Amino acid sequence: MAAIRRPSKQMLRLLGALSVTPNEWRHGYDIIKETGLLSGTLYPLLMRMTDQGLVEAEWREPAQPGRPARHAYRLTAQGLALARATAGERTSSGFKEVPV
Amino acid sequence: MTAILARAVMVVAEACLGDDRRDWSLAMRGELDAAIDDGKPLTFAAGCLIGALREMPKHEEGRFALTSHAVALGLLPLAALLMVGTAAGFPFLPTGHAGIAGWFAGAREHQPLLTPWNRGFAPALAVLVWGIVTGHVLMPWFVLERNWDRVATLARVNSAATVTLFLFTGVLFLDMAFLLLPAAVLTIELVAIWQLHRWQAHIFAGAPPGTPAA
Repeated sequence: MAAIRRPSKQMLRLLGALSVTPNEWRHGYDIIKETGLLSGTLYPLLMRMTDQGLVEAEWREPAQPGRPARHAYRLTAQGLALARATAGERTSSGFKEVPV
Repeated sequence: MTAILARAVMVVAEACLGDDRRDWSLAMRGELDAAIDDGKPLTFAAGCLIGALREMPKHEEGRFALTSHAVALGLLPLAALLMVGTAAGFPFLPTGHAGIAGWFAGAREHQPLLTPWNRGFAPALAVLVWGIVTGHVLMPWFVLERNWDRVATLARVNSAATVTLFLFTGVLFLDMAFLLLPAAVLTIELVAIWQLHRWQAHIFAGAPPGTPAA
């Protein structure tokens, strides 16, 4: 497990989005739409957070036949703890969590 | 059309991520349909490509790919240097230039490299020099293909041609200083491709048989 550095603004935004409904698995594109992060920012972030044990990922069967399987993500207990610990920073940075 | 272009961009992004991140390549590809449904496939794919490029220096396969391209790009100027040198009368062509040494010395009066006695060898020497130049131009291409059999063959051909040039120079009693440039180019090229080959062998040392050396 890699060391966790001070969360970036983008990471705080992702933590905020995933911590609203922590038990729910979310697809990458849904997270992009919700957080406004670009795919080029989101995926490297998800890779790093998965390596750090903050996010877990699993494959989900496609909703429509003929489409590829999709990766879904949610926070681990460690990720959720970090999300709670950084809640103050998210508020001060102006990020508002929108319940889904 | 945009969706086709986006899929093409995704293929490049997947290649940039390499085998270490195969799962993530598939994860990004899995979301492309959602982006197409949303009408923004190209934005999504371009973002994935940028993200994949940024990840390249973080894994060994990516660092190897970046270094291979840097070496290939580095070899091209060396080949270009030989081409320019040859076009300017280097080293044996009877154009009346004093060659590299005269050029460095700023000689005003150019001495022909070939005398009337040995001028008959000019076509053979020119073919040899242009053969070496062609070999050096082809080398970066084979390096990027990671076709080490072809790289090894070309390295042997380039070495043999340079040695032949060396022998011709000796036989014709020409200034051996003119061989410094092709010898230096050959040495740099051989060292660079040998190091790349060793690195690739190290990266894929633990790969199961049949794994493509991507």
